[in-house]
Amino acid sequence: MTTVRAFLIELGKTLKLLARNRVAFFGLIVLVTLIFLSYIGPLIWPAETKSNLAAIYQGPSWQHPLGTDFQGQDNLRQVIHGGRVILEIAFITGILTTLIAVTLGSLSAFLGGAFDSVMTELINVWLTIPQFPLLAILATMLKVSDVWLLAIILALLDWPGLARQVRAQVLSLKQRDYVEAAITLDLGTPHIIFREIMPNMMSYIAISLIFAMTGAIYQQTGLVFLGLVPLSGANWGVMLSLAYNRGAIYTVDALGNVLAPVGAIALLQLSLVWLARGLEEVFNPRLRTSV
Amino acid sequence: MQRYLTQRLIAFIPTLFGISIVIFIVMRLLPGDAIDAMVGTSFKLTEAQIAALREYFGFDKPLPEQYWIWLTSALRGDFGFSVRSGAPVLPEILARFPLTLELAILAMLIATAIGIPIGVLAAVKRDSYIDIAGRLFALIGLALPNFWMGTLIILVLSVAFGILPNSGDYTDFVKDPIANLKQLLFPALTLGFAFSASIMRTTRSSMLEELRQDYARTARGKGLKEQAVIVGHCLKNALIPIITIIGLETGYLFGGAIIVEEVFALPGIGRFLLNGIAQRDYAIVQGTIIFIAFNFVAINLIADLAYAFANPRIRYD
Repeated sequence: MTTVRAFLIELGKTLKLLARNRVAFFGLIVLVTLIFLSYIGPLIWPAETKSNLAAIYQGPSWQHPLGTDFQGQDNLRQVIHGGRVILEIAFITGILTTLIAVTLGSLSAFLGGAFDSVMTELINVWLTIPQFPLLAILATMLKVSDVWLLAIILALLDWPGLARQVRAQVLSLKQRDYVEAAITLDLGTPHIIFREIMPNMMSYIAISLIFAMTGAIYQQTGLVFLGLVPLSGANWGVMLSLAYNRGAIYTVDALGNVLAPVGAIALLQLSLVWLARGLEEVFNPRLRTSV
Repeated sequence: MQRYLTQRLIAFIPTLFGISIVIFIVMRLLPGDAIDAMVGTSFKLTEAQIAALREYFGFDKPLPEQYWIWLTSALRGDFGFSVRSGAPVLPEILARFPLTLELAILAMLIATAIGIPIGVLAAVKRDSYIDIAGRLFALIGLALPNFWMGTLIILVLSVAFGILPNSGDYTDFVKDPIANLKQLLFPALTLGFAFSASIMRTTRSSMLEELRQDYARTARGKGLKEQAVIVGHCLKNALIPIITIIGLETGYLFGGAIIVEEVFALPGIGRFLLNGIAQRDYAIVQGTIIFIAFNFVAINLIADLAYAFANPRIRYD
């Protein structure tokens, strides 16, 4: 119970600091709005099942604020329906990437020796392999259509960069007096990693998680755009891919059809970057202007 | 300096070796193989015929042996044959590579030409409107994936100016340089945009750091013009991390080029790879990826060398 309470108090403090940081707060509001729209929106505005041939590629109007697509369906409604999968994949990938990177990176720094050498070499080689091409191969050949499978593949590709940074952080934290004290007291590796070192890295990990999410958004929409993963369901990447392949991109009246998914993606990415930037300032007392 | 260079050169080989193993394993672990893909779509073959095909392409041998055969021939410049077309892979890659390389170089030039001046200006005039505009630019570059950017560029050009980006036949640079550059300008802008944002950010923070240093104050104190202090003293030192970023990101440009080539319909190695993937053509995919990785490592090596030249602490070591 006490841990839960302590966590809630910490969360409250962080949110308070976040509210003072305009950039972070703005990012948070945009992000929460997008999440809200993607999860609650579809319940209020159900998906259109029929195409309306009389309303193909319309410009913005009261009835269709963002215009219509090649089937005469409302762009805004599609944007509302298309965010959920992207958010889910981004979030799962972010968590998995961070988990793998933190575990391997800190173990590598902490254990040292042969394990560290092998990990460092593996990370170096992994980082040299062209990521997007490899991702394209994996996604196509495994015929990815499942949210979890795609997230796992993305995480397996994305962890090395973060692991290297975590390793460097742990190496420097390891030198601190309180960690040396814990080592001398023989408190055990799990205790030292999770109770002494991790709490000092939480802010860093939170920010890395957000950046891992932006990376995942880029990669998954890229895959969908190139048609390398099955085009099914509502998804901003699918929307843009269709807009591109059906020639909406060359039609003046179809502007909304292209700009709606582009804007949605850009807004989601920006909100995450703003939030990460703000968090950096919140967590780093030296960057903080007032407390 | 010689020791530094030797170290870098020696590290080059095991890295490539490691990459080749990882890619080989990944390709073989995936379900299905090239024969399945080839047979499944076109004909019905008997088991014996399939087995004969497997034997012909060497897919029946144990994996370590397959790898050894592939590695020893790759070292001799033989990347194998495409299972689909029967053409040797390396000449096909080399024929398409100049386009991708030109695209990457143009993108890098554009990115540097935009990123460094804006970065320097933003740092010199910190917290001014230029700085805020520059930071906003960097943020947008960071947040917008390059294919959205490409799509937007096509859209703006076709809608606002009524010109369609050329998606017809690609003209070689040697044949007609102007037509060639016209075709590559917008793809290169697309690819270079995100890249310029990261160069701008690095330049800004690195310049801010250098402008604060004692030597900058000394230079100002002895009466040098501000311009000379900024360009001659500070920028020279600030270039060191910028070079590292340029080296790293040029490697990533090859990955980004795949998407941009697809968007603008350019016949580079990115599209070649995508086709190879779609047809499950091992030799093409393996060869292209190794080739891209080789370039990535080579570019990083060049960046390391440039870094050594720019940094006197390494040069005189």
